[in-house]
Amino acid sequence: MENPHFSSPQIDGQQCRAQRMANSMVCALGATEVSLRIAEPSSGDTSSQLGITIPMVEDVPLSPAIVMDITAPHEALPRYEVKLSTDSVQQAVSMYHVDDVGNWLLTALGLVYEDKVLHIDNVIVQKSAGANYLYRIFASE
Amino acid sequence: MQATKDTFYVTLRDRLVQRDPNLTIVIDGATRPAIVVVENEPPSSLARQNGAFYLEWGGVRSAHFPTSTLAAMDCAITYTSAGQSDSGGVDRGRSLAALDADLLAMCCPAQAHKNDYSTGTALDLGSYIFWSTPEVKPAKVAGEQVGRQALVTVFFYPEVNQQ
Repeated sequence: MENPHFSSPQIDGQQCRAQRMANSMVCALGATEVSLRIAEPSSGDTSSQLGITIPMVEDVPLSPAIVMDITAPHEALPRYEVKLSTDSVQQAVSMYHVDDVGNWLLTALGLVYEDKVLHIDNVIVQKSAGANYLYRIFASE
Repeated sequence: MQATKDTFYVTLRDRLVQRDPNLTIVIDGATRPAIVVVENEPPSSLARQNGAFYLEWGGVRSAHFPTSTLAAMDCAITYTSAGQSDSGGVDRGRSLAALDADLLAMCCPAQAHKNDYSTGTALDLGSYIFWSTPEVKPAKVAGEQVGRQALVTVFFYPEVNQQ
């Protein structure tokens, strides 16, 4: 078995450094909680295929988060950027056995913030040394 | 009109299951036949998958106005293929041809009993819907995918008490 201490110590260190930096930044600047609205698994029966059965949803809390209003002056509807670190999503990722966090965030039904359900427009996953360290969600009302 | 849409979908789905039971997709954790009505799915699950038929309903018009109440509704059926991953995608044309054959088989015979599915079970409405032979458009290549669209016109008599 490969010894992790001798495999790639510099890369491992860089991964941890970026993740610690992101976790510290989100903790220091973001005392906010957002929730990811996800659909529960479909039954797959005829009623659900015909759009008759309303899918059940679940709100998964993600915190700490930095929520920034990035609405441009000419835009009518508010837009937000939500920053999440690996610690912010760790519990949810473990609970739902998520492999691809970026895709999981992008394909969610929406983002709940202050009783508003925001549409997720885009998700950018920032990486360092091959590891995710910051998730940037762009959402709009 | 909704009964026509639902009947057309369920008819094609059941025929696809009979013809190729292994042609399935997973949407929101559920494995189901690889045929989807786009407007019936949550917006979040619309990342399109290869090897699946996507139905999109278009305009509705009177087919023989004013001599008949027969109505016509357009349906676009889109499907793509990227071939098998272990073949490097060189068989994507063959996979698309298999989907073509599935589509033509699903659409034959070009009629079905119209049912109302609004209650969750099929209620026979005592009339038929029927449709044109699929007008299969040329294949288009987009990256590793090759796909095409087929157009079908579905004819039906609007029910008095149906939407």
